[in-house]
Amino acid sequence: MKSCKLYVITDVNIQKKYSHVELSEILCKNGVKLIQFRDKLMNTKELFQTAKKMKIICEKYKAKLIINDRVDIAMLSGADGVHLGKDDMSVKDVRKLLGKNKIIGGTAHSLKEAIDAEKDGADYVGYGHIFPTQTKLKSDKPKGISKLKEVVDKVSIAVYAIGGIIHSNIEEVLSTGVYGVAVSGGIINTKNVKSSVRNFLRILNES
Amino acid sequence: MYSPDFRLLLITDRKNSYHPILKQVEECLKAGVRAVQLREKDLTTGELIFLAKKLRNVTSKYKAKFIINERIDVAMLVEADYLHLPSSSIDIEDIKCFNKKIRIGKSVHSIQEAIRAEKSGADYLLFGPIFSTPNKKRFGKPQGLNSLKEINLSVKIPVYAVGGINSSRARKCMGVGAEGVAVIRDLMCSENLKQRVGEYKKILNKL
Repeated sequence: MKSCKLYVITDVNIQKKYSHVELSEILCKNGVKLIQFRDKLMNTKELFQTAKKMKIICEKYKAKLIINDRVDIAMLSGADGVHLGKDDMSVKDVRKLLGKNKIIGGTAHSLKEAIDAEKDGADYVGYGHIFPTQTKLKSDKPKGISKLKEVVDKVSIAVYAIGGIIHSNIEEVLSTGVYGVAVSGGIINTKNVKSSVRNFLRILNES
Repeated sequence: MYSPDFRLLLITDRKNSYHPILKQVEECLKAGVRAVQLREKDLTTGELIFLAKKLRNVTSKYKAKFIINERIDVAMLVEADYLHLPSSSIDIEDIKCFNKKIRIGKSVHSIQEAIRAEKSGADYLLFGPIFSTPNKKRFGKPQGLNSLKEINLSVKIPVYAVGGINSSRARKCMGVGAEGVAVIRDLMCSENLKQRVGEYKKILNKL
């Protein structure tokens, strides 16, 4: 997963300016190589139609498209993988369906969950939330940098830090040796999505 | 031509189930039901798979057919016998494009939809709601027996009547050429399934 240090999650609830498809175009055009399509409100048909369009855009720019939760949508749209939360299918079951060439990402809110994701065969794990975030309602406290460092040290698959990451705290996140950062609001809910992407990419490439 | 080997299709509705859903389904199977469709739209993927695996086991035990609503990933994972597509879901062509072998049931609400579904490769149709039902809001106005008759005359594939079905209404549906009936409430809400399923058996000749 080279040059995939910036992982952007599309969301049409925290911002209403752009659709998933429009976001894909803006993100890809400005150099994002890894995009996650996340929508908890669309019905199956809408998810499929949107994913198909996003996949075409991603392919054009040689970016990878990951689908949140829905393995069926990933299979039917030809997406590059799925991202799984704790209420979703298990990594083992998804691997049976998708085979070894597709990307499977897990979610971890603790070191144990991160280690389990690796054991189950996930290709990467998203760990967080690192900082306070408004993208998702969270009841638990932010994990912070030192816990992130612990996860990065203990697992060998790629770790993406997620939750409340903005360009002003990204250097601190990278100091843990984390593989990359997963960002939603920090990019798509800013005044200028294009310059936010460029800022993130610049900082990530410099480090 | 291929034909599904059942006349009575039980569609799950765990929220209105008399017993806990697994017991309710097993009681139906014990009483002779030969096809079960898992339709629980509000479950998370994880919960859905948990239930799907349990129901696959119990339907296999009774040599009954098992049908998954809308989710091709879940259908493939648990090796369901059919994938059922709601009328406004992903097109059959898109499903067949990904998996040629999977057998498909399809809900339709008009002759045009029925003809199109047959051309696209549906193995059977669910047509309804034939009668008024407490769930009618979800399914629209009753279509009536005349429409059921017309649908049966318009396609070669088997048509199951759905919506407000009970055993005496099942007789009327069979009278206009239905292959069988799909039942939710009349079986899900019933305590004495041996008796209730027995009534259907008398009318349908076989289950």
